[in-house]
Amino acid sequence: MTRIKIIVDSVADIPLSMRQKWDIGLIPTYVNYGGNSYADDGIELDRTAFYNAMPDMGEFPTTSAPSPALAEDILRQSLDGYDHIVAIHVPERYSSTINVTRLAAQEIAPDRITVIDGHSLTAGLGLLGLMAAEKAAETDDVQQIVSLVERVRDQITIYAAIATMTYMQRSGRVNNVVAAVGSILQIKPLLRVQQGDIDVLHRIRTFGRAVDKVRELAHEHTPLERLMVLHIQNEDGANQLKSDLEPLLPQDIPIMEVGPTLGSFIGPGSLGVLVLPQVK
Amino acid sequence: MLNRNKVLYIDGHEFRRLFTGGVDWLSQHVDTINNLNVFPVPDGDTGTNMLLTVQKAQSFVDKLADDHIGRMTETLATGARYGARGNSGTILSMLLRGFAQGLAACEVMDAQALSVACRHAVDYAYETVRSVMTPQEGTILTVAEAAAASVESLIQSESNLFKLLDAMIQAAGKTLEETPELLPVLKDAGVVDSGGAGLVALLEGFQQAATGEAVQASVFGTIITRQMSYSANGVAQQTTVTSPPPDDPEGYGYDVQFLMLGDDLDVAKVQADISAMGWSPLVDGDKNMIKVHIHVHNPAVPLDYAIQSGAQLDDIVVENMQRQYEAFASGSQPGHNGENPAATDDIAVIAVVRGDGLHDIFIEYGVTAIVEGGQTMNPSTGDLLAAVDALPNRRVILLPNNKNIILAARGAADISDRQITVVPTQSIPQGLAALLAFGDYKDDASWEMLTEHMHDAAASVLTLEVTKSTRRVDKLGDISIQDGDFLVLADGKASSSSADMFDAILAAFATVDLDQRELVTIYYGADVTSEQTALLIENLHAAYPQLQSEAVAGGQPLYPYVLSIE
Repeated sequence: MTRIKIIVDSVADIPLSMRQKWDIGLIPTYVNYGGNSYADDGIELDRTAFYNAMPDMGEFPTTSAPSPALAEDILRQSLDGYDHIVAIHVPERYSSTINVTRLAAQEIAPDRITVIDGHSLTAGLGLLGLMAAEKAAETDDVQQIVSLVERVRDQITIYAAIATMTYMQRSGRVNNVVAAVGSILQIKPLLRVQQGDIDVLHRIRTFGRAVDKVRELAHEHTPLERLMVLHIQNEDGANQLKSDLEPLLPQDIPIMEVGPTLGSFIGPGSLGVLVLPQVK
Repeated sequence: MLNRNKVLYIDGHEFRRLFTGGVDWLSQHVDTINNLNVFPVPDGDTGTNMLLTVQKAQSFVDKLADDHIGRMTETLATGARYGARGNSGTILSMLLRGFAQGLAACEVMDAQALSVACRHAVDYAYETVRSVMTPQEGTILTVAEAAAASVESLIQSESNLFKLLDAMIQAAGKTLEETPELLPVLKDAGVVDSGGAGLVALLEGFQQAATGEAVQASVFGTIITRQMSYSANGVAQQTTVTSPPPDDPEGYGYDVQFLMLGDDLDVAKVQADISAMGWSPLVDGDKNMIKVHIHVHNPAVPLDYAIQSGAQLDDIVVENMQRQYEAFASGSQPGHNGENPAATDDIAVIAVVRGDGLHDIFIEYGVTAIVEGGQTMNPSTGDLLAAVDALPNRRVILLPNNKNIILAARGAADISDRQITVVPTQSIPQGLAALLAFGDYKDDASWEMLTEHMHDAAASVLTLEVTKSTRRVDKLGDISIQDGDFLVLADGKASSSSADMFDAILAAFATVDLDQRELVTIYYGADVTSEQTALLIENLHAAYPQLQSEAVAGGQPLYPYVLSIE
């Protein structure tokens, strides 16, 4: 019996309770502000406090990947009770975390650690982690888990209505988005995250209409296998969106808050949905 | 001179002579017609637009050596299509086109042919207008219909063209006087229809040229005088009389057009100086920008003048009218439909925009080319075609951004061989909304879906335009306006007025359903500062705390503020 452990990074935004329930490991990323560096692990950094402080931070927060030594420690500890690790990470173009894990795996036990690019962000990665963990509970075949992740990762789409461009403009991370949105007029872009790409689908002047568009786009993917509502410090908006979308899914629709690592580039207020269509 | 007892037919040469008389008489009443605007605001000037339309027509036949009236009117009509500007100018060009089609096979025109041509002119114009909008009664169309009907009713008993022309003028004049009864906005504004007035002036000019006598009792003049007596504040002014094109051995000369840009331009002085340099002058503008149009033998003269005045020049167009005519006569239109060697399948968007800041915004959000113009400066079909032709794109979308430019833009779409769609945006905010939608959908949507998305985006924006009234109007819709009041138009309709600009704007907001609206974008004009605008935002925020506001330097003249509410 091969025991398989799933590991994700902070960008997957899986709440601590869920990680504990499914025994999912975490290689944290770090958020740096106010002269300190905090592991984005749901323990060290209080996300509500972070977001509340965000608009008034003199300097914008930055993020950093974990050190290779830390990644090695985490992988080594995980291998104590398991035969194999499947690590699902934020795409390389947005963070060096996946390469840190790859290097660490080379150092420790390349044949016992499989590193996969999740081709998504936030709940997209989180969903892959959870589905992989569900699979790991019922199989001892690593290849089945890898196949599942590789099949699902390109079917996931996230649509997000961005409440403010302030943070993205200052981050310098998504220049294609910033350029498309321009700087003269206030624009609430509607972004799509799909197969690892972030694209500006619509440039909308008002947040209300951007959210309308998110709702409309979610309908285009039905019938749905999974649906999640995402937000940053916008619980009311998320609840409204959830109740609007309830007809699309028989199960309860989970609401998830995007964590500080990714959230520091987006800022408070934004809303989004994740959709995974049923396999035809 | 024609003998008024015996004019049973006329040929192409004679028609041209009469047409010249019409252009001349129209040119003498340009300001009067310009002042017949429904909204007492600086908007598209009907008189100017119609005059530029017929002047272009005239320039095409100046040296046409052809007695054939069918070919003469066809050439005139072609010129008018290129010169078409503003709604009335564009409809006038349609009337001319239909008239020419009715005469296509005629060497000369007798009473019967006149009747057929008039009917065809009116039917063609109605039909063409109908293809893009619902024709309104109480406009140039109604006046033209009355003139055509008068000829038809007399044709059995009357073969004298002069008498028929007289009947046309009487009927047109009578209907012109009735236009306020047909179109309530005219009645409210206390004016007769400006386009209809232009048509009456044109016809009356034909008559003057026919008799060689100054009109004794001008129908146009009588109507205008009567109108002034009941209009609250008639502002008919005598215009500078423009001289007709010369019968000159030096030939046609050049059509010179350019923009003068500056801080404190003297329009009246430029008008006087430029007019002295040549013929068919048209000088229009304000202290920041003057559009100059003049026909001269030496194009360097007006250009040197403008440069030495210290103004910046832009959009300089010099056309050799001799070559234009020759190219036309030989069947190849100059400068249009030419396939650029680097032709591309990418779609271009051309927008009509005025104001530095607005230029920057349109460029930032992906416009391919800009045609200078807007309120009071309506580009012609020819101007828009020239902008299309300057691009390598086979497919072009036009954003007129003004209700008075839409028809001219459709005219350009009709004439051009390229695939052109006009998304009929009526304001700058609508144009921007359409442009953003273009960027969002251009890579994925079909041509039809793309333009439909642009259309929908434009429709989602409410536009408020703020300007200063140019005269008193007792009742315009529900409001009354004092001369010099600030007037706010909401999607083109008079919404509020007040001596205080902010009061006027807040009153307009009070009439708007703000449910579902969250953002006000304020494009402030050349004559207001960002500090004043910040004060406006404070006022708006106090009254409507739920709305976000954003101020953008538009730099547009005449309209201190253009606002969009979304």
